[in-house]
Amino acid sequence: MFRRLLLDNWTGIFTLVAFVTALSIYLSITWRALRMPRVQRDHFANLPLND
Amino acid sequence: MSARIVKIHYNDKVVRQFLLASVLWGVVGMLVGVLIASQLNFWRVNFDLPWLTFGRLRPLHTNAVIFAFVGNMMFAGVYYSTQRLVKARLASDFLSQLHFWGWQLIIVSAAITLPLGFSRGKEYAELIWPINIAVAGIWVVFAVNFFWTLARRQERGLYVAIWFYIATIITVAMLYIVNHLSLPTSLTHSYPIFGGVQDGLVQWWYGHNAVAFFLTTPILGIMYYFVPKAAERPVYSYRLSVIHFWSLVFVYIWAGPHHLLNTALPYWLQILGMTFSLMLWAPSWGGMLNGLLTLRGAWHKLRTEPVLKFFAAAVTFYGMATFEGPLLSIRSVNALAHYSDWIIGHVHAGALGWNGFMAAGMIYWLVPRLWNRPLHSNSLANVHFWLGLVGILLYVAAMWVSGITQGLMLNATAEGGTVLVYPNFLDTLNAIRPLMALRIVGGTLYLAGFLLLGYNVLRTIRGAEVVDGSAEVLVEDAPSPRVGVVGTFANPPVVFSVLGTLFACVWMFGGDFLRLVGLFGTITSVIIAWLHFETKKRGWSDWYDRLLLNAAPFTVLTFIAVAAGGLIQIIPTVLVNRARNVEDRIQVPYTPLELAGRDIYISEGCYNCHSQMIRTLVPDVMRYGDYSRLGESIYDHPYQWGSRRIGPDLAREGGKYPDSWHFQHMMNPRAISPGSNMPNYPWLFENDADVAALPAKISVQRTLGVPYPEWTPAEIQARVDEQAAGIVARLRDADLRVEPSRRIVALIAYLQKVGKSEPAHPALAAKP
Repeated sequence: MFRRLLLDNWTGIFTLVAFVTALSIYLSITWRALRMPRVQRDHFANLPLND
Repeated sequence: MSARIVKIHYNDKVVRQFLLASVLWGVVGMLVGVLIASQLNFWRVNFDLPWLTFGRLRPLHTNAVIFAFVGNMMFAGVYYSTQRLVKARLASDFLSQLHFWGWQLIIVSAAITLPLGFSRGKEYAELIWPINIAVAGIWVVFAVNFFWTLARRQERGLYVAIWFYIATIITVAMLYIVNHLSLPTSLTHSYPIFGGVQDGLVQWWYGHNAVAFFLTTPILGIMYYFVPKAAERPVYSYRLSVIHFWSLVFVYIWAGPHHLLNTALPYWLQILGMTFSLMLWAPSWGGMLNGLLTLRGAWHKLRTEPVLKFFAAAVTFYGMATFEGPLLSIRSVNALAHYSDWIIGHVHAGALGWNGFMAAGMIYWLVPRLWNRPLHSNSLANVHFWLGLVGILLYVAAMWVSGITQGLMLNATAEGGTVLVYPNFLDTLNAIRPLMALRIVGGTLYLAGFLLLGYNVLRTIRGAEVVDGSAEVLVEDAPSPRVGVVGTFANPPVVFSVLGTLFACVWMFGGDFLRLVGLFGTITSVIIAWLHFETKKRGWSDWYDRLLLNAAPFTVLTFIAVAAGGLIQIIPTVLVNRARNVEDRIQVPYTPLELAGRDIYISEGCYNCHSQMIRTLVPDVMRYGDYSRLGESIYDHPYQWGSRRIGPDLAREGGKYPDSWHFQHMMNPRAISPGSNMPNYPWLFENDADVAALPAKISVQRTLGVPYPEWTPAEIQARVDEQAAGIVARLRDADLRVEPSRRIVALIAYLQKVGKSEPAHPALAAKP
């Protein structure tokens, strides 16, 4: 069965699973970034300017 | 908790060294670029000299621009910004110097070996195996120096630029090592361990992500440091930069198969590559907007500040190139654009616009600070900007029009789609010649601008006193919230992610019962993860916050993120793509003489202009013959599917023309094909093929799985002599004379074999 990976089109489901996985990671990171405390955000954002 | 003031003296010597090396190699790389662009239009510029032909110089151009120009610029930017962002001097002066001189030695080795024809035959991965080992070694030196510096840092928080550098270091190491796995046959030659579609997939996993993790992520880190510095204001949205990083790291690595659309690559990999390429639109444009909006309130400075001009244009080109990339990854668009100049225009928008202008902006910003003297001439820098911008626009626009024109002509059919409108390939080539000439103009303007940069830098630093930066930092002696090895993996986000992925794999790959188990496990993992997250939010957040202060676990998890995409694509293909699994047709292994000819084909860089892959597209099949099957290149180490058709596809070249045709064509292509831009290859008629190396080569091929019998050297020589005599006799019949030992004889043997296959019987082969 495994070798059918070369030839069959049902494996298109990989794309769907991979897309959902990546989307869930993207949403998680977005949620975490949006909830980043302002103090932490400002500290990081100003690091290049604090030489 | 106590606090103390620490004075830090930065190591800016190595920054200066890398910066000047970048300028020097930038000139070399661009000069070779203009030369090879000229060769495409004026074949005489090849000078009938082996080491000046297009096929050998094109790899020199790409390697010089990527690894020498951008590489040196990247190291300068990374070392300068990292020291300041983490408030620590580079960990080791010795490693810094070893890194610099080692890298330059590698570049010089490449500049010597590539024109001499020593090549692995894979794009951006042409360097021979001893240099590959040197590159890996020096990259490890860079990594040790970088992570050691992080370990000694006074600033606990890791700014997003550092994240991009971490992703660069670990991902490039992974990509480079896997794609350069080879078995040597001599000190200067090796065969890649992957063959056919495996090699193609690994190559473009590497090739695409060389663009992603060598030409993009480190430059994004540089953008996130130097644009705020130049604009004197913080990045527009730090939150957006966090999303930008994670989404790029997770998504970029999957997109490699978009270089092989409509080919024999399995369909699911093509769709996977296309989908993830389209997903790249969002994070790339998020990053571009973040970079541009950092200039908010500073736009008026663009009138007078060349640094900001370069940065603004560079980020705009980043946006343009990352819009175009996903567009080109759509299968139907790719059917038109692939193998055409459109792709060349796309990569140059990235290399000249994004990388080149970021380099220029950074160099103009750094030089006055590293040599403690104002820039020699702001006016010259402004002239450089406009010359470069006009040059890029001319170049890119010419390549767009050229690519679309040739693509449309090659695909054009008439009489209900039954005949080609332009059956002669040369008609399509000669139609784009004015555009190829315009490219020379654009490239020359860009080079002229860069020469002005070189002059400006030299005048600035001449007689100037170098200065190393220093800083006083208030250090708090408080314990850092550590994650540790257990904490890195034994935490809810990682555990649930691993469980979900494992069950999903069982679901997709398992048999009937295992599929059900996998499906149930996947759903259960997602539900439990969600419930756990809802009840223990604090734990998830605390772990992430601690991660941002701990470089080692952050690096490990970033590595897993980038490795996952590659593994899911490559492992099934490597395991499955075996001769016993192939259906329809399977390649006939090359005879010893044909193998010698193939090595000449690779050495001369023929793959730079000729593909060996007839796509599953009607115009391709009508023009070149039946579409290429997966099994037809299964013994090709390395694969030779190519990426550009400056000349026609050669997948079914074998037996198409008599030996005398190839003989005369290689001697003078225009004698056979009037209007051709292919170089003459007179040295193939004067030099002997390397038959003595064949026993070692065939032995390695056998180890790689190519079904050669156990021939003795004498048997190999006898087969070579027999086949060469046959070719020489046929040539003599056409009134052409040549010694049987000459390279041209071996090359003709190879060209007459390309595309020869036999029926495959996987079901029978699988039986004991």
